[in-house]
Amino acid sequence: MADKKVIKSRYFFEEDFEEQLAEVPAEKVAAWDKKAKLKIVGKGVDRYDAYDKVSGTARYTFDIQLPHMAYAKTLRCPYAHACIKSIDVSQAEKMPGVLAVLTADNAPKIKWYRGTSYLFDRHLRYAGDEVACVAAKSERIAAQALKKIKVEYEVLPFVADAGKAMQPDAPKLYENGNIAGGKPSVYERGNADEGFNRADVVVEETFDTQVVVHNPTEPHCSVVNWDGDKLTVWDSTQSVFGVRNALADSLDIPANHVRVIKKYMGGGFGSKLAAGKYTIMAALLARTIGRPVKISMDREEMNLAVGNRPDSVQKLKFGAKKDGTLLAMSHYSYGAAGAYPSGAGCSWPLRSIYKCPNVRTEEYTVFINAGPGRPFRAPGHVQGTFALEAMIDTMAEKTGMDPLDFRLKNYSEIDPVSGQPYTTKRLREAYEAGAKAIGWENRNKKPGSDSGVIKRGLGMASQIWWGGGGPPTYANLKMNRDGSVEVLCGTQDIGTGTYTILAQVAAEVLELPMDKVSVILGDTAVTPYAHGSGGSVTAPSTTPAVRHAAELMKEKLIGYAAAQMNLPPERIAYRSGELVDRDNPAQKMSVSALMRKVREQVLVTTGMREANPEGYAVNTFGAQFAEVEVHTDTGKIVVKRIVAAHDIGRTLNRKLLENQFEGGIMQGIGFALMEERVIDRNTGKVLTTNLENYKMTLLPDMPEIEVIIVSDADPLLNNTGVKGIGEPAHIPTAAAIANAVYNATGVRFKSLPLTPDKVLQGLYGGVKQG
Amino acid sequence: MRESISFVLNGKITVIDFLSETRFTPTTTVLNYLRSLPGHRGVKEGCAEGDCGACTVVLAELNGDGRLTYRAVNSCLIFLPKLHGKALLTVEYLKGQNGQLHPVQQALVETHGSQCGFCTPGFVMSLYALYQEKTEYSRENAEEALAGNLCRCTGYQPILKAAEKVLKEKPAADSEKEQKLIRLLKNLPKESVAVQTEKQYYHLPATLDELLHLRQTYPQALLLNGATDAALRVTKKFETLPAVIDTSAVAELGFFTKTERSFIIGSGVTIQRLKDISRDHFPALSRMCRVFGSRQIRQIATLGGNLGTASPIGDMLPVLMAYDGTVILKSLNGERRVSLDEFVLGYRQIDLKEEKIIYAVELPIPGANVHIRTYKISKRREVDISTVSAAFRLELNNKETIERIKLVYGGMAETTKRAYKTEAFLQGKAWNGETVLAAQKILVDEFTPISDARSGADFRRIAAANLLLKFWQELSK
Ligand SMILES: Cc1cc2nc3c(=O)[nH]c(=O)nc-3n(C[C@H](O)[C@H](O)[C@H](O)COP(=O)(O)OP(=O)(O)OC[C@H]3O[C@@H](n4cnc5c(N)ncnc54)[C@H](O)[C@@H]3O)c2cc1C
Ligand code: FES
Ligand code: FES
Repeated sequence: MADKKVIKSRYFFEEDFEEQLAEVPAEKVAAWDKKAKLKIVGKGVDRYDAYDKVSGTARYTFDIQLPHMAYAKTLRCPYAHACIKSIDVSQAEKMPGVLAVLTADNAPKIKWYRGTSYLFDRHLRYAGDEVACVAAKSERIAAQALKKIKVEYEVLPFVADAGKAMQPDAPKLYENGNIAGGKPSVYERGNADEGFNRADVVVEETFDTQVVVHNPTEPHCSVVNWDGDKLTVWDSTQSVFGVRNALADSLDIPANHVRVIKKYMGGGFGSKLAAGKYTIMAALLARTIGRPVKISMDREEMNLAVGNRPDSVQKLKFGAKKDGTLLAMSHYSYGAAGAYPSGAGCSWPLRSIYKCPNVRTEEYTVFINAGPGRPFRAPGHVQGTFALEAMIDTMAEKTGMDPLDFRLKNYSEIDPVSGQPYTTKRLREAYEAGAKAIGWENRNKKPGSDSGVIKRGLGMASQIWWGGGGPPTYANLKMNRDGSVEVLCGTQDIGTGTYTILAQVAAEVLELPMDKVSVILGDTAVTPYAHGSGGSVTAPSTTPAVRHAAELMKEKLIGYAAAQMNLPPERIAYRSGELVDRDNPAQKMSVSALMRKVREQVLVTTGMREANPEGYAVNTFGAQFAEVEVHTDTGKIVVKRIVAAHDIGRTLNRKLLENQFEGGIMQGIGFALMEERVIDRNTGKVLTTNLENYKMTLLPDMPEIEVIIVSDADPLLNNTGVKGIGEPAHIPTAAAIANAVYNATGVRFKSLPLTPDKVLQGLYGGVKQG
Repeated sequence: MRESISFVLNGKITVIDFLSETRFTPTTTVLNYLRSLPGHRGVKEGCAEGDCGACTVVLAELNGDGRLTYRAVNSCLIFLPKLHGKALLTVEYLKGQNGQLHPVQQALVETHGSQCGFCTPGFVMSLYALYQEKTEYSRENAEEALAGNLCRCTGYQPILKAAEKVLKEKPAADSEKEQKLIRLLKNLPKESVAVQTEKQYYHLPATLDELLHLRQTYPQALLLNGATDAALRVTKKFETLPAVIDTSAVAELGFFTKTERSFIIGSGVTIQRLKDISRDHFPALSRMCRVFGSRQIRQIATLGGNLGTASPIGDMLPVLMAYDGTVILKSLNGERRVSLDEFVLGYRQIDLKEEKIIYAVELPIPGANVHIRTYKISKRREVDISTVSAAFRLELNNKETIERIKLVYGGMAETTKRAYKTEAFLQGKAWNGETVLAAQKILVDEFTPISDARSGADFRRIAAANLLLKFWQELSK
């Protein structure tokens, strides 16, 4: 078990397959049996961090205060597109309390946005781009100083719409034009045109989705502190190692001079997966002024400058035989990356859920003068699933089939992209369980047939995502002389419960009570490497590593016990925290008794995530069903119920799991009904820069939610049998709601969000009454 | 008169003397104050403008019969002098002596009520106020109290479960702590505060007489009550408010009297209280108060402040107009009454001469033949500014014809406006579906609303017309 080897590991993370070398155990720890009676794993135990959070003692980066700490604030470009002609900071510098001002004039030229720009670039590509950063004694002084900086801009023509930006005469953000990479990303299997020719039913529709903003409750923020040439940074980040490396590269200092720490953080949802400019700016300022610096985005900056889910325009064409067999699908889409590189593709669900021999997708990622995109809870899939699942419903209707039957007719037993079998796929079971729970037979057989002012409807949508994780991920386990245990892992708990599940796994293997286990995460100086917290890979990557470490610890303890008891190791068994002579069970010693013999020593093991099984596709699946009410007089949509039935491998903690689903569904409702970044066409400025205008779901918007898990475990994938849930929970919600709205009204709304505005327009078509 | 304020912070009497204190000014918010203290950073900032509830704290005060009332409020919108004479309770106050959790905290632990936890102290405090007020559990009560707390992670279900759990438990009287708080509050000075620093003066008069004099002396000073509107100028625009008269401590503005024919409601009455006061005789007003902002906002925002903003999307004016309300203005020279129909002169302009103060609103109790309904259309169910709002008043005679009708709209023009054309059309007609359909045709073109981030102009027109139909449908049920 202790032997290891190095492999080329490849698995999907957020927007792409990632490939890297990784150390894995030579021999896999046998996966827990599907039916294994586990004592702690699977139970809804309390959160490890619950006390800190409810008592208000949890310390976030936002709360860190160091002696003599200064505060930094950023001056942002007021124009959608401009060049800096000159900057005069003299008035600002003279203000009492101002400590330093950083601009393109005095900052080192640090490459940013994958080398397309600089930390401070004179070419400003969106209203919100960084112009200057001020450090002052208080945040208020820093904010007031920003007003004193005089910048002369050359205002450039801008484009704030992806469709327009693709036109040849559009204002250009980059010399090579506004299409990222200069060309679309194309995927093809079979021959779509031929498929359409043979089809009995062909449907073509265009859909669009809006830009939404992550808006975690804790803003993006960092506190930086230099001690000589060593830098310590507290950052509200989903990736301590990513931030550490960005700091080392940007500041051109050795990686071992930078320590990045993240303990508690107020959410991220993808927007905190990469290092932010603000952290580097704070580090530069702190070095200049010789004081620690805190930098924190305000809500306006949160809505401008730290990421968003790109919008999409999607043209879909589907062809099927009369009997409902899908023959061909094509998908043409474009979406706005914002001003800097990020992905706007959204065709993955279409390529990968259904069995269809002929598929063609063509995706354009387009630069526009707006804040850059960043992965947002299942990038691409949420937009793509909305359009795909609406089309599937339309095809079902055109072929006279029940939407579920249509999906089952085109069910794929293998991954249609790679041709490989799945480690597990329980989508069929999810359909069945979800349909039963929602009462699928009660939907309007004829869409819109519900009479009355308030129309009710049912809809559903399918979900696919990766979420299997993989190596490299490591965890250390330490055992102390009192038998208490520490788990150390370089992953981060972004609120999802990583502390809790890792403690559960260690406690399960070592048969210890939860309170004997402590967990330390997210500190580049002390925790071994783990991936950024995204892609729903955290649980399936880290729990097997912790289990491995714990199994190794058990082995180690047996070795120590054997020496102490003068027995061969094979004779010793580990049972409920005791080391027992197999042949003479009366002869035994407790772990704490044994540990006393090791005196001051701390026993350490390192666990690793094992390699993924070769020749298999790893995916999570699910289906969500929605019941809605559409108020045809005011355009209001009320989501009454959501049933979420999913295949996610093993449940580690039922309460954490439900919570992920409820949260994902909540964000799905926001995406479906209200969230939207609005840009003023005339100025290119964002109008929705506060939470009064950027609406997110609140308690009264929440429906009844039922979560059904149709999987037991995925033992082929890893030793805990776990797949991810964070993103799957969110993917199909908006699509299911939109399909339910169609079922209620008989009107197909093809544009998100489904605001009262659009609903009335759709129902009455313009100003006139219906 | 004093230059310092005194309040109880988590069980300790605290005095802030603004003349010797350099870190805080009278327009420092309670949030910024708390976060600058050691050991009080449980309170969080999520938006600094009243939209997220992360900063929720509880204000406890002695009411008339010597008991405590608890209000959950947004500390990001409250200026320090408003604490004068009150108790400020934060999440740090809740734990027991050995660190054991309060029942609301324990309930959140058991239901997994926090994920990232950044919103949690805010929820804890909202729940704590409910618990201390011994509120019965119902989904409606929970929504009413928690809609002002944004959570981006949990989907609210476990928090709702925690609310249910803890509110169904009958609270073990927290008596020792409460008794101590009552004792401390009784001893706090209550007199008015006047702070004059180099950059600003801030008056917090305790009586109406003082207020009227101050108004006369400082006609340019910014008058405020809840300051939910004014606070944003300090926290978002980083302005310094040079002159402030804060009316929130004037008890005479918080009154309400009921006569046989009318209610007179003081301008200092909070929206939350107004909701309760109006429940029986002015149900449409009560309903409008219910969907006004969040509970944290309703508990500080006032009737007078809402009229004072004269916002075209303010929620009080349409419904008060439907009730034929009259506003009572006061100055040292006397009183003036203005019908609310005539009170708004233009965009954010009201008939309020410099020295005048909105003293109260008088509402005649409507007769049995009067039907009044209000509607608020917004993107989100709650805690949203109206896209379109409407208040309708219909008086029918015994032949089911329209004796009198008032159709008041918010969000359709630069001020709250009546649909006079449509009203004239309806006057004297039979109240039936046909009439309403015909009226809708006029109504659709009566206003020329604008398109903005909230919605398009067409939507506003369709919605405005549909609301009339809804009114008719509701009444014919
Ligand atoms: C998060 C949030 C949600 C909100 N939701 C809503 C909503 O749903 N509906 C809505 O209508 N509004 C809403 N508002 C706007 C605002 O809170 C209200 O208009 C509120 O009623 C103002 O009351 P106040 O006591 O806080 O006023 P203040 O801010 O104290 O004063 C507002 C104005 O009135 C003047 N004024 C105050 N008192 C008097 C007086 N006695 N005599 C003369 N003038 C006076 C002030 O000079 C000032 O110009 C919301 C605000 C926030 C921050
Ligand atoms: S910080 Fe958001 S309401 Fe106060
Ligand atoms: S738990 Fe993260 S915002 Fe509520």
